[in-house]
Amino acid sequence: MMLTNKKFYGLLLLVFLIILAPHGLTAYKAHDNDYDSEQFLLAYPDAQGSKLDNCYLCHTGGQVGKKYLNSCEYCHEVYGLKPPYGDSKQTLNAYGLAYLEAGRSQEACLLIGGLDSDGDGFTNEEEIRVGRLPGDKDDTPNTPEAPAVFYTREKLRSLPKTKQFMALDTAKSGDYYTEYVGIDVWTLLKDAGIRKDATDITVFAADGYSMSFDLADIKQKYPQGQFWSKFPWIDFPANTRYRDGDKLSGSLKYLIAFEREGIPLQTSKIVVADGRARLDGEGPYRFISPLHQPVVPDRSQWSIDRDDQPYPYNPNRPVIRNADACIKSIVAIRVNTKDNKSFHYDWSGQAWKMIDNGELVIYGAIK
Amino acid sequence: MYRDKLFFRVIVLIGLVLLSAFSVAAQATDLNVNKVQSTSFVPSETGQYTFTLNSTGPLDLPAGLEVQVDFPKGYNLVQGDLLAANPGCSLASLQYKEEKDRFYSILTGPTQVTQTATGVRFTLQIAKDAKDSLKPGTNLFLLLPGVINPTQTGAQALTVNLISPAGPRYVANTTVMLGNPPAAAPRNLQVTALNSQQVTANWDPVANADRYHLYFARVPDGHFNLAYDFRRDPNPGEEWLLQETSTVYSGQGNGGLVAGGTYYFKVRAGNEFGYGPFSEIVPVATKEITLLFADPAPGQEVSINSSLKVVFDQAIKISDLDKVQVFKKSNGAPVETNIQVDGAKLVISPRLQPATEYQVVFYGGALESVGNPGVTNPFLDWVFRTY
Repeated sequence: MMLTNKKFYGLLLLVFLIILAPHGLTAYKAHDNDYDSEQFLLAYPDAQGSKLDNCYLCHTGGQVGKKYLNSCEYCHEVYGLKPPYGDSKQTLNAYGLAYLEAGRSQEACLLIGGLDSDGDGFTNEEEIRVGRLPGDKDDTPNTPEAPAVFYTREKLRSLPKTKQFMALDTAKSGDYYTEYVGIDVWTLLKDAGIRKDATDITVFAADGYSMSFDLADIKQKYPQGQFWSKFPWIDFPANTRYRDGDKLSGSLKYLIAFEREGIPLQTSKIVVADGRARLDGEGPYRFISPLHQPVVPDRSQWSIDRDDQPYPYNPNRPVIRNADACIKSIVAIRVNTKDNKSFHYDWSGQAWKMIDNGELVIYGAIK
Repeated sequence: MYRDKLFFRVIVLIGLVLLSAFSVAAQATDLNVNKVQSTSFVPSETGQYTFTLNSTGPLDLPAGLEVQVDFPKGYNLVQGDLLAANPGCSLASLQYKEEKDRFYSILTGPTQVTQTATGVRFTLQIAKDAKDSLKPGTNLFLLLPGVINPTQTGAQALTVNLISPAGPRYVANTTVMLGNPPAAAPRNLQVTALNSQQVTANWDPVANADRYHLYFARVPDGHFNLAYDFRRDPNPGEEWLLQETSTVYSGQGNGGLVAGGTYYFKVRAGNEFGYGPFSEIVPVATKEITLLFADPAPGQEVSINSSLKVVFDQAIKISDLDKVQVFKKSNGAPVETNIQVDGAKLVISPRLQPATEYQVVFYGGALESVGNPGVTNPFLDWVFRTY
């Protein structure tokens, strides 16, 4: 094939760009702010507070190793929380990719309204108008509402209770030992009628945060660690019966907690301090994840002496800090199967009302 | 004819590619050590060394890059297992931040310590590619914990090598000085609670000291941490240079001090080499709003028309109404209440039902002292019944 002059110089330019320019390319950083959500809500104001008003409108979950990660976790895994960043484009679903290619703006949202990004037979706009995800082929206007069981304060407390004194190992905000009381998650899922083909659950907080957990992990009991009062980065109740170095009694389970130190969990609300919104409180329900191995909580990421011995802060520690997976103010648990992580039940507009009423919904792969 | 043209163009293309590659390689990059810091330059002590490196040309930091530091005889290094629950001194890293970045990029990988003819060599092999080539002049920090200083004072020559898997090798030499810290411990350490979340500490100055470190613990025989309020990631090589003989501490970065908690403090004096002996340990209890009287008292049985009267040891105001609650004990449901404050007295009028158990809860920080700003309540709760 003969190269024309135009093609030749085009090729030359390309070669130079390849040699000289790759380090100038930057990754797509969607999580720096809420810009993209704002553009979508400007285009579709009725979607505010609905399930479309969430990261998973544009971002997908994915399999990492043996574990399925939902959109929040998958993005954190692929893109990372700190540089050097990965490519967040990999985490976009078909709608997110279409939005990106159309220019990431309010106009882009409207421009791609007529497309059927997920190929499910409905245009993006048709799906958005009825609150279905335009980037998820399993969520269409014809998808029936999934079975759901609502739990009230009374109904939850009528189930067998579990009490566990445990360590919460945080990255930044200080570690602590405390006693949580609640319902072990597997008992609750059985009570809700979990199906045999269920594989994992996704736990949703009122503020939209979510995490997924394998049922194989949920069913297990985990060994207790030791109690340490000598490390000043780990707080503990003044009236604890444990002494430094004592083995903590019992074993640990995943819980839906409603009490801490014998007191109902403080009802969550969003407060604004120093210009930043943050969640205050952890209740009425908090999803409690145990440490999978009995390690000593490490130093705070936010301390000047975090690299000192003993237990320096280790960002690459293989034992996950359990507080990262203890989700405050939970309102919904979706039970997933291997093939369906999109069971439809739109609770999102009701989230803060559910917080005030002490309600929790379990939906998806249940009978 | 066209074959000749094509051949010529291909040759030109290859030539230009080689020229470009050569020009990139020919941008000779010198590596310099701008500064070496350590948490201790005291003989025989263990410190975290931080090397601030700087290059005159762009620097690639690919996976497989070996970062070597050659220490002279007398030094030793302790390195642990990064994947262990207590990884010890294995958190060596290369860190850098360019203008576009909000956070430092942190590159880590397996480490190795080997004895050499001239001393001891530390090697860090970078496991993951940095995304970008480092721009000339950007500070590149090598954090190296677990360095055991030799027993003598005086100058020590160190060499840093960056060896790229593609071939280029950069070498930089530097010298550090080891010396002794102030010999005396600070005296007259006094720690006073300012309120529920802050304490203030002061002490007498120490001769030949130009800096101090205050430490805190939860139990007197426990581990002591630096009492420095800090609510972000430390920058590489960032130090706490407290040059005054007083400071205020609120526990930020370690979860914060709590109302009514007891904490233990000690201080030591330092100079450019390190820190000397510790002062005596001094306890302090943070201030709190104390409950003096409650009606109904814990366990008491009252009529459904009763109001709750609660008296504290000082005049109070409510900081957050949602943190004062009366719950139905059986189901944890909050009860509708009307709350009035009168000086040190608080009256709660809940809608009560007969033959029911209730739990009164003041979450931490629900109340604040009127006369002593920042003095708050710890968690308080008790249970009463209606007949």
